[in-house]
Amino acid sequence: MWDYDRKLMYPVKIKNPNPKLAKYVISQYGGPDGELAASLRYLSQKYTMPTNAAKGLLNDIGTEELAHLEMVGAIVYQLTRDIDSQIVKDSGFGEYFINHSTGVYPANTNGMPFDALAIAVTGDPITDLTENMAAEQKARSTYDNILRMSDDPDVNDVIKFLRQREIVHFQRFGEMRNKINEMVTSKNKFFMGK
Amino acid sequence: MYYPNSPYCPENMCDCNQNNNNGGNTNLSKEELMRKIQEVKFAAYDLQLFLDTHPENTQALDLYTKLNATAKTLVADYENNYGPLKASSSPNSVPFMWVADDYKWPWVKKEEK
Repeated sequence: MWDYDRKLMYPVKIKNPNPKLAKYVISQYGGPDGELAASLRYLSQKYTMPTNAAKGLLNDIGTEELAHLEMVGAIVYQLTRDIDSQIVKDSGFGEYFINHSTGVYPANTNGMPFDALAIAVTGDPITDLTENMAAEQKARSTYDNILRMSDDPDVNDVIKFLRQREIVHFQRFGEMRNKINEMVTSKNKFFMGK
Repeated sequence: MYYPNSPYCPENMCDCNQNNNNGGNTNLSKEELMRKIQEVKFAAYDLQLFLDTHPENTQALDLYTKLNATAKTLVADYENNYGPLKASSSPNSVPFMWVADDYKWPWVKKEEK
């Protein structure tokens, strides 16, 4: 289970509303390479990992992704405080606003709702860990693109933190995949505990 | 080697030669103390992931243990002065402080009601 800490993993303090930027950032909330996908991917894969260490790593990184999800939601929320209908119309936020007002809904920038098709759980530890390494790089790419489009230092500070975590997770998944690789037998079968 | 030049590193774990003040932080503001908790807990969590793939690394484990002890002290300071960080730390007084109107959630903007 989880034990909630009443704090964000990294502070989110955004001074100026910017619904256009919120529409970009929300892709990391409910988009295919976002934090919801990441947490669901790892927390669903953990059950069938072949070692206790691999189960633990998936559990720990999946937990951190939930903390990231909360931070991305906080960015979107804070970027859409104190806006009027004219700003909504001018910023391109209108399509989102019609359905959700300023509620934080898991969708990508195009409004496509979150879909579990964005994640894979194959039950094969090499496949899953390799999927996760790719997922971390895809998330890193999305954060890079957000940094290219954003000129708000309050937002960029948080995005840079999240981007850096993708790189650390990629490293840890790679280390774990190498360890699991050593368990592959000469018949190219995995030792699955029995 | 791990978090050089951080004012919150436990003693003798790096060469930054900072005075470590790992307890009694009641002179810090609510925001300063929260920031310190976030830094220490982040450092510990990052080491936790490192230990998941390097479980034999005694240096990392030593630092992890010390950072968690520091975090525990900081959290106790925060909760004694500013309010519960876990629901179960709420004081035995009504109204239930966890959901009190003047105790904001962490995603709420500072100037917001």
